[in-house]
Amino acid sequence: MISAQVVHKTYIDGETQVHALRGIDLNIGEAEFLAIAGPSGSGKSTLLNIIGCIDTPDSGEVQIDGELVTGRKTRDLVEIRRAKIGFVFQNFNLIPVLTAYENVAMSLALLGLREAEIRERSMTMLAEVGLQGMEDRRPSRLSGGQQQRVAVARALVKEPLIVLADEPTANLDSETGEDVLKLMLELNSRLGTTFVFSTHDQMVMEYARRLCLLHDGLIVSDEHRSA
Amino acid sequence: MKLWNIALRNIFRNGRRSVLSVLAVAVAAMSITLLFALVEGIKEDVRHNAWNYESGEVRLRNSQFDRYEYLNPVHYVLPNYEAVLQELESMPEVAALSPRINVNAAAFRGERRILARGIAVDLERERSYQDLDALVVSGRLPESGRAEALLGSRLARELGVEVGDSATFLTQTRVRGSNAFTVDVVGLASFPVALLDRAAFIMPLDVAAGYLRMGDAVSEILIKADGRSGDALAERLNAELAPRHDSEQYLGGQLQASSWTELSAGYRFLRIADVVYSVIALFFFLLAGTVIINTTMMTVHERTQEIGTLGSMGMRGRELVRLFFTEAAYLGFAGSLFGVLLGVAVAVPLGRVGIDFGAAMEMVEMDISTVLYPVLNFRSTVWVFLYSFVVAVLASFPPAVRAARLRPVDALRG
Ligand SMILES: Nc1ncnc2c1ncn2[C@@H]1O[C@H](COP(=O)(O)OP(=O)(O)O)[C@@H](O)[C@H]1O
Ligand SMILES: [Mg+2]
Repeated sequence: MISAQVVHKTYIDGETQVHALRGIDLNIGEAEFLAIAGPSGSGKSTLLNIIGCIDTPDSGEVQIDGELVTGRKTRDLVEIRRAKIGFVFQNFNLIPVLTAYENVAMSLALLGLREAEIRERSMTMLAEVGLQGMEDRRPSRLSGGQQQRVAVARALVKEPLIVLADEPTANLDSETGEDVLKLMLELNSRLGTTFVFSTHDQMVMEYARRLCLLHDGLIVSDEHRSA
Repeated sequence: MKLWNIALRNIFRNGRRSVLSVLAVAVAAMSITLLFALVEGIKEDVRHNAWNYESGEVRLRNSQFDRYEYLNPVHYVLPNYEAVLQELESMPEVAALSPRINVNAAAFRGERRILARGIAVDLERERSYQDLDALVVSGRLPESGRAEALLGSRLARELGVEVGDSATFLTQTRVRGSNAFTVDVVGLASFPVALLDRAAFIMPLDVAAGYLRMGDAVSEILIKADGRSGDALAERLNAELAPRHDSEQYLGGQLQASSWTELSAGYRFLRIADVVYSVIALFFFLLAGTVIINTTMMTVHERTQEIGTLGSMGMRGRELVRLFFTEAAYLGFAGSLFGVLLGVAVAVPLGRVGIDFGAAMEMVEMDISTVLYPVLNFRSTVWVFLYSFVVAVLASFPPAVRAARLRPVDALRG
């Protein structure tokens, strides 16, 4: 469904070159719950960004839904992201002037759906993540865990091919982080949405159905686990 | 989630900055509204003064006079003027007429020679040409057939005379002889233009005709046109009226009509001033524009992460541009409206009371009054509003486009 082949990415930072990714091969199938784990600086964010079409590899190829995305125009990548990819960020990144409901609805508004459908799907999604009754709150009136739930709802409501979450629990205390992780896992098994998240937290890795270990820009182990 | 709604909320995120931006636009819009009102006031004033005291809207003279004007050729006159007046009166585009004799006079006070300029008018007829009564500050207007004069108050002071005194002037007759005449000062006038106030006096036409041996002639006839432009009227008069008045009586010249647009220095000055004021306006708006540019740049900078988030969610570049555009439009609209309303609120009372430029205008050798009344012109006020609004919106364009060009991955890093 999604595949990366011999993906390289090098950052040039002044005099020094940083080889963030050094030939990544990765195939992601339907309904996977995949953790990209590794120490800080191992290239997790870079990999997720490239898969998420907000960054481009120096060499190698990325295919999404059987479609080659490497080398496509910026404008095309916007369309791919809008329709097929949901993001969850470490800092939640909700739009502060929008309510919980509006943050979620924004995803669908960008797709140009009708108002009624937007309303119905957004409300349902917010209920799914356990935020019924908090639809009209702005992010500033939500806890970190609640904000991340809104972010998950925002990513999922458009029924994307894949949800990419870069260290989604890093800004949450471990209990709240676990709750969010359980929520994602539950949504993964119930809705069959593919989740790829990065982490360097041992506890978080425990939840993964498949665990890729990244080290210095290379996948050093790839292990499938049973439920 | 409508864009205009998001933009509106964003405006209130940093209220103080939004208020400052609105104020910057408002100050520009207000200043320009006032400036234009003042310019409009000056225009009306220059026109009023030129039409009443200088050139009329259209002036009829002996063409030879204009040719040798620097010699003050008093013998080049409009003979048989009653006949010309009759012809003019039958023309529908002529609104008002004022036959005049210009009395270039000098008075002596001790050793000092004081130059004066008599405007001899047909006092009955003049009422339909201008509001003479409005000029009188003390005493009354002179009456036809009497050796009386209404003196500019500064001239009276220079001469050391008051109402009830008499004044003696030396002048040239039509045949270039000298003559002295004495008039009773029956009233003092306040001419709007400083230059006139210290030189002009008004006296009856028939009396001046006698002193100057004018016979059936006047120096000039001033005309106000009805509706249509003075230029067109002057052209028609030159084509139709002038040939009917033979050149023997005109001593080789002929009847010649000139429009004030070619005669008045004030009019030409205003044409140039119009350009200057528009440039000043442009600078004001550019200044206000830079404030909006700055505001938008700061906004973009503060919301870089948000821009990255929206970009990663698949918001298109032009949608982002539209968002920042809409925000600038709100600020620009509020600022322009507020500024123009403020300008109107200041200009309207000033238009009633007037602004006294007294001392400053004394030295100006132009037909501009010492007290000016700003005049609000609906069209230019609307124009100021639209212009400042458009400039404010356009100013947000460069930073908005830059925001839209940010790669989400870079923007997300902040
Ligand atoms: N924009 C960038 N410019 C320069 N170096 C970068 C940039 N982004 C990431 N890097 C470097 O690339 C390496 C991988 O970074 P990253 O993908 O963020 O790793 P992780 O998410 O696993 O911590 C790090 O050494 C990091 O310093
Ligand atoms: Mg990272």
